[in-house]
Amino acid sequence: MVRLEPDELRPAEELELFIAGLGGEGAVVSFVGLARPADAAGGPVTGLFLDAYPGMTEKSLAAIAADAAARFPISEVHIVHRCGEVAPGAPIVFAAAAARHRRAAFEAADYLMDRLKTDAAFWKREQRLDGAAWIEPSDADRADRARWNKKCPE
Amino acid sequence: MKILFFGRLGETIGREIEHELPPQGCTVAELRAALAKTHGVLAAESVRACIDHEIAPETALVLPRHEVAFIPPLSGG
Repeated sequence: MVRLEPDELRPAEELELFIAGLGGEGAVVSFVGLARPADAAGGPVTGLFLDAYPGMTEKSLAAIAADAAARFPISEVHIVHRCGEVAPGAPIVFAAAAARHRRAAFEAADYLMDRLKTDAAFWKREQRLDGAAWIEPSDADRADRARWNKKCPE
Repeated sequence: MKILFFGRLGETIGREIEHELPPQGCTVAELRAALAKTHGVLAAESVRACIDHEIAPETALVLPRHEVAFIPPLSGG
C-alpha cells in the first residue's frame, strides 16, 4: 500500500495499521524519516516544501514498492510520504516491509529508502535564512541507490 | 490544452498554462520549442516532458487528449 499524505504523518498509526493487515509474517521492519532542521552545509532550514505531481508521484511510489516485492522475499510493503509544507523535525516518510523472516524485511526497508531518496517523484524546496532553494539528490544518495545495481550486494 | 509544471518550474511559470495544440498533435520537441519562446527555462535539457504521468522522449507525439507536464530533475523523497 502506498499513500501520498498532504497532512500530518503519524508513524505509530501507520505501523499499527500495517501490522493489523498482516497474516502469518514473522517480521516487520519500519523506517521513519524526519525533515532535517539543517541543509547540506549545516545552515538552518526553517521549513521544507515537497511539490508532488498528483498521479505521477503515487505511481513512482507504487513502482518502488513493486520493485522491492519482486527483489526480496517479502509479503507486504507500506509507504506513506508527505507532500506540501513539512516542519523541521516532522515525519516526512514512513516505509515498512513485512516478511516471513527478518533479513528480507531489513533489506527491503533499506532498499525502499535508497530508492525513495532518488527515484520518488518529488521536488523539494528548503526554506533557509537567506531564501528558498530547490534541491536535488546528493552524490551520497546516488551512491546509496547504486549499491542495489550490483547483482550480489554482498 | 493545459500544460502542467512542477518544482521550480511551477514556481516560475505557474502550475498550469493553456496552450493551443495542432489538432493532429506535435512532438515533445516541437511543443517544448513553442513554449520556450515565452518560457525560456523550458529549453534546458534537464527539463523533461511527461505524457500521461510517464517521462517522454523528445520524439514522442503529444495529442490533445494527453495530460502533459514539464518537470525539472526529481529531488527524490
